[in-house]
Amino acid sequence: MTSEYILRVENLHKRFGNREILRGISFKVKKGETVVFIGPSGTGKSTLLRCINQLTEPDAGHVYLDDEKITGCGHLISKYRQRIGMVFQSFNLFDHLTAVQNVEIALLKVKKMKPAEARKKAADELGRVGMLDFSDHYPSELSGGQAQRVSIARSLAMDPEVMLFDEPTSALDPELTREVLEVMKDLARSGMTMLVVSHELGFAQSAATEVVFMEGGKIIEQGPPARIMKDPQHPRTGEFIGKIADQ
Amino acid sequence: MEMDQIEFLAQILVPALFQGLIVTIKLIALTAPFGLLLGIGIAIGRQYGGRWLSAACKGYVVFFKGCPLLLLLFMLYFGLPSVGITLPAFTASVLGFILCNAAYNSEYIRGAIKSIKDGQMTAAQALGMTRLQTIESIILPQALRRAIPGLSNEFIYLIKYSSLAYMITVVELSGEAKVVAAKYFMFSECFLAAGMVYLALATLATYAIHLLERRLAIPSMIMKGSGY
Amino acid sequence: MQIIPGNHLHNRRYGRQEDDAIQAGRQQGGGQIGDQAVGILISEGQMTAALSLGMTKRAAIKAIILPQALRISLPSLSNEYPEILTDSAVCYAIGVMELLTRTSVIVSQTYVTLPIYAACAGIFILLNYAGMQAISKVEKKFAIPGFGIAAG
Repeated sequence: MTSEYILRVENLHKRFGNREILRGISFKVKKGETVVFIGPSGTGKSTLLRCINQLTEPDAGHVYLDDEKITGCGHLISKYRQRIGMVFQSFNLFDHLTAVQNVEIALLKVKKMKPAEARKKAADELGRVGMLDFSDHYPSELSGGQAQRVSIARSLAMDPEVMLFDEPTSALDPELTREVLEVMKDLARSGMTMLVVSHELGFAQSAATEVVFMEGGKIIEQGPPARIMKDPQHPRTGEFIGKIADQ
Repeated sequence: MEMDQIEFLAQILVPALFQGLIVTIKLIALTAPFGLLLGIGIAIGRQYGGRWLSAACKGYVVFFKGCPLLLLLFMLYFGLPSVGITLPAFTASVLGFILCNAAYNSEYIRGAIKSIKDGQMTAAQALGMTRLQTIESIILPQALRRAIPGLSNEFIYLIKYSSLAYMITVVELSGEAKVVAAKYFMFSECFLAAGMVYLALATLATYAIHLLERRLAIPSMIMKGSGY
Repeated sequence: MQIIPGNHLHNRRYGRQEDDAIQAGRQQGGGQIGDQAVGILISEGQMTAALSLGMTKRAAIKAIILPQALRISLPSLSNEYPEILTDSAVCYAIGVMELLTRTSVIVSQTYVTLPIYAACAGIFILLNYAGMQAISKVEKKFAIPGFGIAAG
């Protein structure tokens, strides 16, 4: 049963202490779309991603994955998380495992694959991101860009329906950023549904199907990248783009 | 009765100490694995358990760290019979050691668990692992490695406080030494000899654990306390 | 104390491994080992900075390194407190008339075992708990912000 929208977010609210971070976020994503979220830091973009896979529980609102409600489903959320991949700013690779072990562990523990099967799939995914030669390296032996690519492979191995990227290149030096963005562009081209929080306007321009500008916990403006970048409707959008385009 | 020092050593002291050593090793060998397992359980219960479990584990630690081991042994051996539970001295000793050892172990393990980045748990959950799966395959393998220095510290303490078993009539290494010493009035010699055996045990244990740490080391982890 | 090479490849924000090691080192009741790790981890950049300001090595250690090392390692040293307190009970074995000895005397006189032992345990535990709370307060007061004293 496939619906038109693979992901629907309705009226998400989240407050931390007495600061309201998300003030009623709603949007819909179709299969294969690449949505890039831009906006000043601290406006809840990361929180939004974390509310989608319930790593952070929203105070109000609902999230639907392929028309199935995943908010408030208790411990069943583990099952849904298998269908949503997430890549973090700080990679979060498992320090005590090699690259290939990092990729295969969820296959072994969550999908209960046989070791040989899991190892093959892990190797395939590492090859897909160009990290097959580093299979037996530990996270500390990898550069930032390499670690992030392994992290992407780890999430991809679960064959998710949606991939969430939370500022994947913000912690990387410029020259390492490129290799990760290349992998992400390939992924977008291959038809993966992606939600990306990033400051990389270049990526948004070339790979996004939709750009969403958020500020103060609300969606200010959204639309195709060409329009948002060149001809934003809202003054704040233009201001923001001007600011980071200058850097 | 005139006796040559060497004769004394060979014919009386050494066999006696050897008997005692066997008992000591039995005490340690039975305590260590269960003390470790229980310590892991308490640490996990305290760090990841709900309100009640966490409080219960904290209570356990406060009690068994605060209560002197000797007093605990007295309670188990002299006190329990009054409520109908009579434990043999050896069992009471091992039980007391396990309870105490686990309390201290759990503190080291808990510290190690807390030192692991939150991101690890987050990433595992994002992949769809349950909390329990994450604890078992991601957190514990790293935490236990980090806790090795502290746990080995506790193990050395265990080697030393196993001598308290003598206070509740288990004739282990130091007990044998005392018996021989009192019988032949050779206090310094006997205790010195026993002391040397404990030193040997501790040194052996330290070295063995160092080898273990080496073997388990992962390039990503800073080796703590390996200033050898 | 070794730091396995390869860490330099890591981007600064990944891992914060030094912090992890400091925290783990602090939690070790074997204060010495924790202190070594802590001392070495804080001294590299700090010492360089101090020397470049014109301090002698000795002055740098006295004014910069030691204060930090002592304050950071306080939690692990304080772990020794319960051990010292409970070790006092072992003095029973050589006839010192401390709390446990007194308790044993009472028990042997009255033949009431568990309740009296329990009361004795209660006293020790209370002393321990109160002591740990007090030390905790001192720790917090002297804590250096940014070294994340993970509350117990």
